[in-house]
Amino acid sequence: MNLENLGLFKLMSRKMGWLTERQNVIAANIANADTPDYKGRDLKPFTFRDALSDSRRLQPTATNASHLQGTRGAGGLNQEQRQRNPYETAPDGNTVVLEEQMLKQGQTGMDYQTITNLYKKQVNLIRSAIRSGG
Amino acid sequence: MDLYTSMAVSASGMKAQGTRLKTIAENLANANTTAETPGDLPYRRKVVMFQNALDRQMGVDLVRVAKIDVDKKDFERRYDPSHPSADADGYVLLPNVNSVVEAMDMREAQRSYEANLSAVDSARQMLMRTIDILRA
Repeated sequence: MNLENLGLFKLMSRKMGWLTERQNVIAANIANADTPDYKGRDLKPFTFRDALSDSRRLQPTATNASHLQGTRGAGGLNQEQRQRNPYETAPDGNTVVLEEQMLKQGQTGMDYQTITNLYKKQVNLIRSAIRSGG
Repeated sequence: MDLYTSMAVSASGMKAQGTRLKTIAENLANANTTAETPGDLPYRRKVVMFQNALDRQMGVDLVRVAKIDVDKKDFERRYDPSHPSADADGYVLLPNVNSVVEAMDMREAQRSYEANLSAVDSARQMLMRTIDILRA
């Protein structure tokens, strides 16, 4: 049995992927907190609608063997974007505010914990269903 | 892209801040270093410049120290005719290091370092939680 085929598991692992990616972006922002002219970034928010419709999104098709595939695909869920409303911009053009990044990092960590707990619960549920059959 | 990438980015940030701290220490230590002979110049304050560098292997932006340059601000002068390196008018050139500025810079480097450390910690916790799924 492949858990990925179950809708809920698929959704959860996708959300975990998104959270991992977000942690990466936040880490990059924090590391560059003192780099002149660095613009803080964030991911496109993870929405239920996007998560469901992602599989229906049109992808470009390579009709010729010499077509290039591209590395990022057709802009999936993990699309990076420049932060739209930075708290403030320092005189050197840097838009990273550590407090804001800390907040986001905390959120990401807690969301991740929620999802992993949910995952464990779901696995336990399946397990007890299997046991009761014996 | 995984959590190890995130840790690598934070580590590069910590390394850059460490270099900055080292430079600040150098400035502070040399705050009173005058020239040995008249006419020579005293210690010149150093400044660290950060730069964003793409790591092609991981596909992420790391931070690195672009270069360590010198502060072009004028030297301070103090009237002390008895000093060995005093010029004909009795003035001694002092380094352009301001300990208040250095202290402030040091605090900032320290805070940034801590922020990077907390990012590493956060990534580590996320990893542990993933591993925790296996034990469920």
